[in-house]
Amino acid sequence: MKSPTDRLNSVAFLGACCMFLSLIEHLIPKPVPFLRIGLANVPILIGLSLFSAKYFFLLVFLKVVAHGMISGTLFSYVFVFSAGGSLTSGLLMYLCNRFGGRRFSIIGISVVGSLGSTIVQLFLATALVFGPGARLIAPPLLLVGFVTGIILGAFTLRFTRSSQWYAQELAGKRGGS
Amino acid sequence: MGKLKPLDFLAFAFAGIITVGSFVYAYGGGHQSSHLIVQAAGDEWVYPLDTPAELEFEGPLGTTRVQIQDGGARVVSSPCRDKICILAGRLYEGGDWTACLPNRIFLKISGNENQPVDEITY
Repeated sequence: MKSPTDRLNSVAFLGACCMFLSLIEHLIPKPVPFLRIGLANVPILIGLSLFSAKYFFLLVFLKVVAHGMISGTLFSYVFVFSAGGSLTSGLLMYLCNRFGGRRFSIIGISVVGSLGSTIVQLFLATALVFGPGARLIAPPLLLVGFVTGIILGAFTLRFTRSSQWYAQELAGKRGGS
Repeated sequence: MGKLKPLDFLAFAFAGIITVGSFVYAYGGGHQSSHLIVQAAGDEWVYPLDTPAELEFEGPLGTTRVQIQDGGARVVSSPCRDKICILAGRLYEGGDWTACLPNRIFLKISGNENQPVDEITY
């Protein structure tokens, strides 16, 4: 049985993982500023089946803030892109998991989330900064998002199948709330 | 590796279609949007390049005839002395232009921004 405090601890732990993975990602050189791997989305994928909506979106919020702090964009316009993309992707993934959970594997959910995040960021880029020229960066972003979505989803699938910690958390959720 | 489920393939197909579609949308199909812009006698006209047409414009010297055919435009005849506008030949890429200065007529192709790259520097 998991108490609400334990649950909140798990959110905090995964949020800290997001921060750490943001840091790792920040160390990897990028050819173009917008091309990102999205390592920090792995804890969110992991948390998808563990938490209620409230705690899940708290985790998404933690990830957005953590990523903004690590990359130094917390108080710049880039943060709008990051927050918009992450919230959309979080919402889409939550809905996919909630209503199609049995017919989706985490890989498909990850691809949906990545796609949603990329599309929203492209719309924001078109509306706020670059205008119609933003369409020129759309194809590489969508392609990279597709590929990283599959890779991160596959990693999460492996992790959730082999991790004892995850099994305990999942059992805790079923027993507790 | 685990098994993929039916909706996964739907998600992949959806993502694939959007990705391929974005390539087509961003990098292809630019040639259909070209227009011919003509300035003559203080007015300006716009014609689509994909519809063949024979056009006539009146200037101070007389009539300049322009032909639109096969996605390009050219001056067929003009009452000027040097015929530079005719020698310019066929206009078809965005930015192509010619003019008949004595007859006060200016032709320009617009609408296609996908011009070949001249130069890249880093």
